Amino acid sequence: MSIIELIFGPQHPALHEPEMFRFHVDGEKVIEAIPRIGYVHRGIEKLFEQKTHVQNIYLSERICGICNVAHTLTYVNVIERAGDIDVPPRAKYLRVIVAELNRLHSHMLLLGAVAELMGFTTLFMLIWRDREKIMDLVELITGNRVISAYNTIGGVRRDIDSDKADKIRKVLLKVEEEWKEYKKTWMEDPTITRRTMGVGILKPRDALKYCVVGPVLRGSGVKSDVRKDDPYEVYGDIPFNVVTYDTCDSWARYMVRVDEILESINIILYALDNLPQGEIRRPLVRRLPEAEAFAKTEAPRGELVYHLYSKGGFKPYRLKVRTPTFANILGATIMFKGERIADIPVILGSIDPCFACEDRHTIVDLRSGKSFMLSSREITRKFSRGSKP
Amino acid sequence: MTPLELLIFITQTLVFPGFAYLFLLALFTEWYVRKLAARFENRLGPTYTGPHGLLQPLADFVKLLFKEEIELKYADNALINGTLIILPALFIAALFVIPWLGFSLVSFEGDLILVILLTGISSGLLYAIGWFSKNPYSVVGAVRAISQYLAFDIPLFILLLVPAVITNSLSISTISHKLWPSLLANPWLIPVWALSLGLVILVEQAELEENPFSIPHAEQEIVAGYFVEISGRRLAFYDLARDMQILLAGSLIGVTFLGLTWNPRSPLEAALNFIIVLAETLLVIFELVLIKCVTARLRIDQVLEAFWTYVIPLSIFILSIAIIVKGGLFPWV
Amino acid sequence: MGLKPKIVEKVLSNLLKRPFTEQYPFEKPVIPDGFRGVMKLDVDKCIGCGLCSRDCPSGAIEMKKYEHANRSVPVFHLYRCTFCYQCADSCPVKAISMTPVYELSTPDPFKLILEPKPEEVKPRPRGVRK
Ligand code: SF4
Ligand code: SF4
Repeated sequence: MSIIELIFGPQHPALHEPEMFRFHVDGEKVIEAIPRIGYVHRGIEKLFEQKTHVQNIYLSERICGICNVAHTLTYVNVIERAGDIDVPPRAKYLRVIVAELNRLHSHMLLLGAVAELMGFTTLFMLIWRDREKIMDLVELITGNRVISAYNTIGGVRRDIDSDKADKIRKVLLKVEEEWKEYKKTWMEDPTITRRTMGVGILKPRDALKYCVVGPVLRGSGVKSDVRKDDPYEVYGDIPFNVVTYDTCDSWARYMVRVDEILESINIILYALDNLPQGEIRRPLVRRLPEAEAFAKTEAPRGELVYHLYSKGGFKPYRLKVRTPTFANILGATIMFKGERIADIPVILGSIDPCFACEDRHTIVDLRSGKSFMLSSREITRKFSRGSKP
Repeated sequence: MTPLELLIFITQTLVFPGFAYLFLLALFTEWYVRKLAARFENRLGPTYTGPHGLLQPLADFVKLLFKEEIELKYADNALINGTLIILPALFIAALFVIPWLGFSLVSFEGDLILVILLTGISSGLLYAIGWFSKNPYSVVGAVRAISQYLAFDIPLFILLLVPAVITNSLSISTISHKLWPSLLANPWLIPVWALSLGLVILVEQAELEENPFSIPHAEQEIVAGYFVEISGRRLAFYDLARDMQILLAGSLIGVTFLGLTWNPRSPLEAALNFIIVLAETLLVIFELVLIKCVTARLRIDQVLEAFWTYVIPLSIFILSIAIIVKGGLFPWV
Repeated sequence: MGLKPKIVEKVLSNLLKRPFTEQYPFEKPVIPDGFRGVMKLDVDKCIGCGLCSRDCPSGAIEMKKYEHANRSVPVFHLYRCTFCYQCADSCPVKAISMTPVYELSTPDPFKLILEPKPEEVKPRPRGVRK
């Protein structure tokens, strides 16, 4: 069979957001993968400059609905650093609790969706059923299921009482029990392991070279987690493990997330037990001095970076956001090479792509129809040039 | 033929066990599969249309009939349409042979071979749909379907011969009548029968292209595979054919491997036979849905390797053991 | 292919369990306290400072002047609202509170404007601040 150009997306069942990949396939084998990003570019970074710091909290959580807590957390961190605002310790613990709940449901979302990508609908339904319980907890704490609007400049917006804490504990213990069973399924199920093991290899050297972040990097055996390396909030005080797997394949990347769910549950339980008393927020600061600040956190998908430049006043002069998927998409093009069509969804799922947050960048690929003849190295160079801040 | 005989013949063809009956039963099969899969996944399944959503498949069918049909300019539409008419017809023809009441209308020595042949042709037709659609996804799906075709059909054929060997007959109704008497007459055959039953369900799952073998229409990989360009009325017929295929798989395995029917002498016995055959069919479909619900999709190379290296030799082995035991070639049997 | 008793067991036990699905329009979900639904404005409390309108990230609040009472009162345009409740946070007199109402879809967009009726807006007594 001659070489077919198979186009994935912008609308495709394997992609939950609009993005296009051109795959050159020979029979079943992928020769080349060419991403084309920019379908959901929304100009959010420009919009940040038009709005006040307070309004921008709610804008930042709209960059990505799934990891919205990570976005607001990084945003308020960057503001607090620029304005030298200190946060009460109770608020810091509460932020950690909500951020970890967010990580829980984000990882569950991905693992369920990937089970569905592999055609395992039962596992998908069961995982999402349990995710629903986590969403209810988020609703209980923050007032809404997905968009939490919880962090604010100088603290958090709601407190939790002992009733809520007990309920959270109870649900989490139940989910943990279920999750241990799912972990067994992920580790032992012959159809899952056959589909994911040895597929989409990303060697540690390549992983570092292409600057991948988060679970993708940890799946390649590199111990890197912002929560440990550069602790923000109270992660420095909370004991937890950085999960790494060193088989470097899609399975490793999934297992990192499976284990991180168990770690997150432990973090939340620890934080609930050690919750200090006191106030939860400082008076709202609306005006910042002239300052530049930088903050990074470990979002569910990896390292999330905000860089703020304020010229004083109510609005930021410039706010730059680097989301994890943008860092990971380059690594993915390497993983595809030499694999089969059937593996494309599995590999794509393993980087947990979130295109809406990636496409906030103004890099739009304007190559004309014929220029996809470029070799992938040229494309890589082109993309990496664009991604420099 | 007297007018009365003609009338009975026409009623049999059009109503029972003919078109109307098979149509309704196929829709019921779809409801059963959907409801069962939903319950396995702790969901509700169809609920709104009719009691417990029983009429949902009919509603879907009728709805699809009225939907707009998108015909591609570059596809061979006439050929696709022809294929989609032949496809349900093949399965209806095969389902005629199943002894729903303990006997069947068109039973003859060798109808098992006919059914196997008809299912074999159906795989070729699925390939044709994909190929004539001329869409990259459908072509990839069709190529996948055809590469699986031999790997699945050979063991299915061989395994369906095991009950034939056990009962010394090639007619489905005779096999169904004589299965348990022959097994009890020669208990050494029982392990062979059990092994072949387990294997044939796996192979039938592959033949139906359900998980873990749903490779030719893997939604997340190649959208819908060979039927990606099929919409509207064509999709209605495709879905109907699919339901009939599942029904045929369930009833064929149920009748030939579980047996338990006899030649009815009164209407009451016929009704009893009917209930038994239906229960066997639903039991087999239950197994098929269970397999579908506890597996992820495999990759085509893994499936082909497993089938050519393990399943086909194993089925040949089972068949030869059955022949040897039946033929009394073991000195101690 | 190995056997997978664990998941098979789970799947078969699901057969006997009640489905998890909530049949939404017939069965309403349980809404916890503090759910951010449609907001409620206490017109008598409001001092018309306009802070809510200034902090609203989506520009959903319009300060409307009621001439007969000589005061401004916020009008919520719910079709723009993101239910972040920054307005309730910013309000110095806590005049905005939440309700658990969330079923907002309507064919008539004017239903989504929360506007106090003129007779509800009474003139504020001079010099009194709560
Ligand atoms: S809830 Fe948020 S978006 Fe809605 S009116 Fe209040 S501040 Fe504006
Ligand atoms: S912030 Fe409160 S007092 Fe001020 S205008 Fe809004 S509702 Fe009225």
